[in-house]
Amino acid sequence: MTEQVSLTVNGVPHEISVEPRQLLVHALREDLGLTGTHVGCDTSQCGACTVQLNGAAVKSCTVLAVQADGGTIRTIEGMAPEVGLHALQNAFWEKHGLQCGFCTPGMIMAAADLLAGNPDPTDDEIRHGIEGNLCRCTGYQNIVAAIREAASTIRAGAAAPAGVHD
Amino acid sequence: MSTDLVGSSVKRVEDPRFITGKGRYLDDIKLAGMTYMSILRSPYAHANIRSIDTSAAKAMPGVVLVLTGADIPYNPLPMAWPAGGVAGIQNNINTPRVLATDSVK
Repeated sequence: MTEQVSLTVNGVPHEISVEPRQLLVHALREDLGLTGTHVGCDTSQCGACTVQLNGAAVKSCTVLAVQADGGTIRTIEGMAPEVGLHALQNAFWEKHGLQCGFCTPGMIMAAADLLAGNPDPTDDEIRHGIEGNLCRCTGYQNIVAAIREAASTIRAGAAAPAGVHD
Repeated sequence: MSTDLVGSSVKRVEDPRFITGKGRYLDDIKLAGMTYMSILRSPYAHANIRSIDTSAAKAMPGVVLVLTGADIPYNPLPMAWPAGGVAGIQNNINTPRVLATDSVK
């Protein structure tokens, strides 16, 4: 048994057939090939699967694909503008907010959600904002510094400096 | 190496792919004909295996292969250094099986 699901992901409309039990993260990764969204724990603790669904950050391993039917989704692949990087991406790079990078997409999506509601968060508010995201390499110091830096860049309205894509 | 690098903050060259979701972790790699594997672990903390009935699993639609410890010959790779360090004991004495055969713990 499959269900038809309509998803607009990073501005691109998709129609996919999914089993009712299929998780949104697997629809993104397996059906749409968007492997930037990671499955870290499968139990909604680590936040590596965080995406934006209808403007709010969700852990996509906790959402069924059918629940997202008709929804608008943004993943890490949809963060950067045509040229260059999103301020958060640039700040994570600049401030050494990653080592292995596995948690980074979820961190960036959670941080984007935080900054959308609170453009000038304190360090405590940043830590609270990413409390659902686990990083096993860097410690959180540089991640907090990166989010603080990105908040400042976004507030200043400055265009993020162009980065290198590979 | 230029001494200008000492004490300066250098951006990592590997970061762009990770911050844009283009990293390629093991779970991201899809190969032609690739199948999924699932491991059934013992429901008991420490127990002897009397028998394993795989017939229901093998009868499931789409199941390609069911393996138990009995299907895998015990052929451990030699360890790089002696385990235990006791003279006369084989290096591979503590090398566990891929899948349990007689007991689980």
